[in-house]
Amino acid sequence: MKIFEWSRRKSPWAFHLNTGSCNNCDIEIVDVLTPRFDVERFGILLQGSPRHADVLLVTGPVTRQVLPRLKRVYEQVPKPNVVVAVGTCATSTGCYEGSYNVVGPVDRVIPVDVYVPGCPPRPQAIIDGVVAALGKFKAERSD
Amino acid sequence: MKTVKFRIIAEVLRSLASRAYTLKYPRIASPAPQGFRGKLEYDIEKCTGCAACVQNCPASALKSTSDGNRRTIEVWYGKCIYCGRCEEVCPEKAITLTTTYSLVTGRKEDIKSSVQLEINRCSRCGKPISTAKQIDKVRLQVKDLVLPEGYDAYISSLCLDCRKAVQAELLLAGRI
Repeated sequence: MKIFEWSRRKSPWAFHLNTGSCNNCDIEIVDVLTPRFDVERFGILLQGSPRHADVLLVTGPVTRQVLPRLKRVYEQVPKPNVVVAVGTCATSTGCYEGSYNVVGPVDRVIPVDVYVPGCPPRPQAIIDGVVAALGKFKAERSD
Repeated sequence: MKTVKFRIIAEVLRSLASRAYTLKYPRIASPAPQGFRGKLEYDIEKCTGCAACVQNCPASALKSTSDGNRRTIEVWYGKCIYCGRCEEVCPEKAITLTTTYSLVTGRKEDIKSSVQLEINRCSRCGKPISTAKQIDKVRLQVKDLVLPEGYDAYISSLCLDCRKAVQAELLLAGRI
């Protein structure tokens, strides 16, 4: 089993899910993957399917329409995994609080491990967030 | 055709001479540019607790609570959208948006900061009026008005209702 834990820390695969954000945080996540920031240095790869992911990057307040999809995607991510809430909306719904179509923040629906506040957060802050999330894998190993 | 080839060769040579484009971020710090709107910080010395920032916050990240003796102005970075509106409206220039950007946390309740200010009570009925600093500031602004001796110090220690009552009493007694 150790080789799985090692590979998970060495090369965490991420899945990016937009739960109704304004695309600002999504652009910053895509920015993290560009040669300028190049998170493949840490082995982080963006995956097309939640079934291949270890890290779930969630942006946006959770809208009513995306709620069942968010639950379904979270159930599809193999455990153990980490969830990173990227942006102010994912952390606390931000200025969408009290809106008729918002049921978030994300931690009301799925457990969140690391929050990255910012509107949008800088790519450096997202890198910090994912690296902090990887620390959670390490903590699980020592248990 | 020849110029295109030369351009490619020049580009290759330039790339060979230059360093890698990738930021070595976690190893080498990458500070935000000047003017970046990051973590909000209060100057506790300057803040008078007028709560103009609370009223103008579009995301309601700022909250003002009073318990009779103290007014607390609290900012929750998990809700702040870093728009800088509070910095704009602060009459004391007590708020600055610093270039700190990494507020990554595992517990979102922890990323808060607050200012606490003392509240003055009415000397006649004991009701809380406003923060001591704000009352001092208003007294400073009206110091040029011609008022009877000791009047402004007394009147500024009263709440709104008592102020009306005292002024009516003084008017009826013919002292102002």
